[in-house]
Amino acid sequence: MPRKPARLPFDPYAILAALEEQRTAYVLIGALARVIEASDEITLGLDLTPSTRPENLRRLDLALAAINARRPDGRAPELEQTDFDRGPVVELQTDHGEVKVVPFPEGTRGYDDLRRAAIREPLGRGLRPSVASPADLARMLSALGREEDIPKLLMMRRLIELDRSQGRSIER
Amino acid sequence: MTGGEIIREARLLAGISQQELAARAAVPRQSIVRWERGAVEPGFDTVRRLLRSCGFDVSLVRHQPGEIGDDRLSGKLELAPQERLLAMLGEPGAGT
Repeated sequence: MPRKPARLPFDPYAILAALEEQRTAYVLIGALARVIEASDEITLGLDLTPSTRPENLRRLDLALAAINARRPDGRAPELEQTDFDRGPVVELQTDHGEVKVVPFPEGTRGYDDLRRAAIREPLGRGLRPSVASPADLARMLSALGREEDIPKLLMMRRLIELDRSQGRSIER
Repeated sequence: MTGGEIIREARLLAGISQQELAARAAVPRQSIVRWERGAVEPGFDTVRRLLRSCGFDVSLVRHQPGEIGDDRLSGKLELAPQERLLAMLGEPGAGT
C-alpha cells in the first residue's frame, strides 16, 4: 500500500531568516499573520505578499532558493520570470514548510496597499517581519467569500473589538 | 465593527475611491470621510444604502459569542507576538 509522504516540519523562523538574509520586501498575510495578531488557529504554512518590483522578486528568488523551494511540479520558483496576471498564487514546498506567494490577495491591491497599515512585529531571533494589520487580514478573509472562512473572519473581528475594548489597538 | 468601518471595508472590497462612492450614493465625499473616520456614526439606512452602492447588501450570520471563546482570545491578546507564534508552534500538529 503506497505511503503518504511525510509532511515536512514547519519552521517559520528558518523561512523568515532566509527572507531577511536577502532583505526581501514583503508583508506576511494569511493564517500565520493572523496567529501573530492573536487569532486562535494552527497553520503549517507561511503566506506572503511581496513587492513585485523586479529587484525584489530577484531577492525573493534567492531567499527561496536558500531554503530549497520548489513548485508542485518540482520546478524552481523563478518568480522574477512569473507573469502574476496569469497565475495569482504560487504555492511552494521548502525545506522548512509550505510557502505561498500571493502578490495580490483578494480584496487588496497588493504589497503597496497592505504595507501602509502593516507593522513590524518582533518575533525573536532578530526577526521583525511586516505583518498585515488585523483589519486588512479580516478584509482579505471577507473578500475570499468562502463559507469555511466565516469563523476565522468572526474571530478576527472579535479580536479587534476585544482589543479596542481593552484600550489597546491592534487594528491599524 | 462600526457603521463607518463597514462602509470602508465594502468600499475597499469594491475597489472604489471615496469620491466614486460619493458619486454612486449621491452623498458628499466629506460625509463618507467623516463616517469612515468615526467622527460621525451613520444610521442603518445610510450604511445599507452605501453598501448597495458598493455592490453588497446586508445579511445575517448566526453565531454565539461564546463559540469564539472570548477568554481564550483575551488570553492571546495578552501575549506578545513572539509568544503567540511560539504557543502555536507548540500545539500538537503544528511547527517544528
